[in-house]
Amino acid sequence: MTLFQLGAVLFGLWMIYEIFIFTKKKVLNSAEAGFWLSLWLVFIVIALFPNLLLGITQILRFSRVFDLLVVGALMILTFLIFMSYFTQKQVKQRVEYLIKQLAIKEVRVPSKK
Amino acid sequence: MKIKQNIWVVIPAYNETNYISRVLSKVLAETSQVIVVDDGSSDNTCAQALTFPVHVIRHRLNLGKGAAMKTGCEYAFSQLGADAVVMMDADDQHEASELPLFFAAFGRGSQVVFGIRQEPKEMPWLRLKMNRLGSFLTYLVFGEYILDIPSGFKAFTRQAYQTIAWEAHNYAVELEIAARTAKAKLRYDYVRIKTVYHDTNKGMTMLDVIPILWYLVKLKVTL
Repeated sequence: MTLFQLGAVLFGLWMIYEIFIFTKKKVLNSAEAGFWLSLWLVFIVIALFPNLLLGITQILRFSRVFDLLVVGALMILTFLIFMSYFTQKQVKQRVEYLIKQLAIKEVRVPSKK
Repeated sequence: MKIKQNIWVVIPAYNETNYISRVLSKVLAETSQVIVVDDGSSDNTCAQALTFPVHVIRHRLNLGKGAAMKTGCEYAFSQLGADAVVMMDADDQHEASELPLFFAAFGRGSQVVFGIRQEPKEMPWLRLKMNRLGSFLTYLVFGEYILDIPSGFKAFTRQAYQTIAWEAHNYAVELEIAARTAKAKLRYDYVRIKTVYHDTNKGMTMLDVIPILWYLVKLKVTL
């Protein structure tokens, strides 16, 4: 095992610990926790046994497993950024709508003399 | 179409405790139809506005100038039946005595009225150059050279508002209003207004310029 693999395994274990914490705080439900746990377990297995991906690497014509992982990670990151952008835009629109509606509802009208 | 006289003045305000009372005193000398939109100020802007016989709307959070302007317009048109609105800044950089000029412009059938600042030497040099650059770029993109786009002293009819109802929340709102006016080929007019500067460290800065220019590109694509 290389130092890099050791670092990756420790990082994966740390993320699994975080999942347990968030599940305990009820931020994640059991389905979400199960999904993320599976993902990080797969991450740890690949970190320990990268040769498991050799088959996929050859099919996709990558020269190294590392290249496959980097490209895969970039695609996932791009997708997450894309989804985050739309989510935050949606939340922003809803907050603005709410604030405007509240503001107009609570308007102070001068009393007529 | 000539406008009947149901014209409201909308004043978006954010942390203008130093000027709001002075502005409202001057505006109320010209018209009683005034709406102040406090955009989540953290000072006494709202409290001071409440001491005047004006409609006061308060955003609980700061949303930006464009959002405050839109709230004021939507309130004026939907709740008060306004035929037109005049937008004014709350920092006493607009002369309330010039409001009748905007009212008169509506009488001539204008749909949008831009207040253009005379005496350009009063304007800080860099702002003057950026101002002209904005007009030139708008001309390049939309084919219409509109003067003094950043001026917040402007007015539009209800029908014009439905066409130019902007999406920008920040200082890009002035650019978007000009762009949409140009794109829709609305009848617009100019009114010469005085140039007044108090705090040159407030308002639009160079940091706002690049996002605004980028917004112009977005408008070209989306409009």
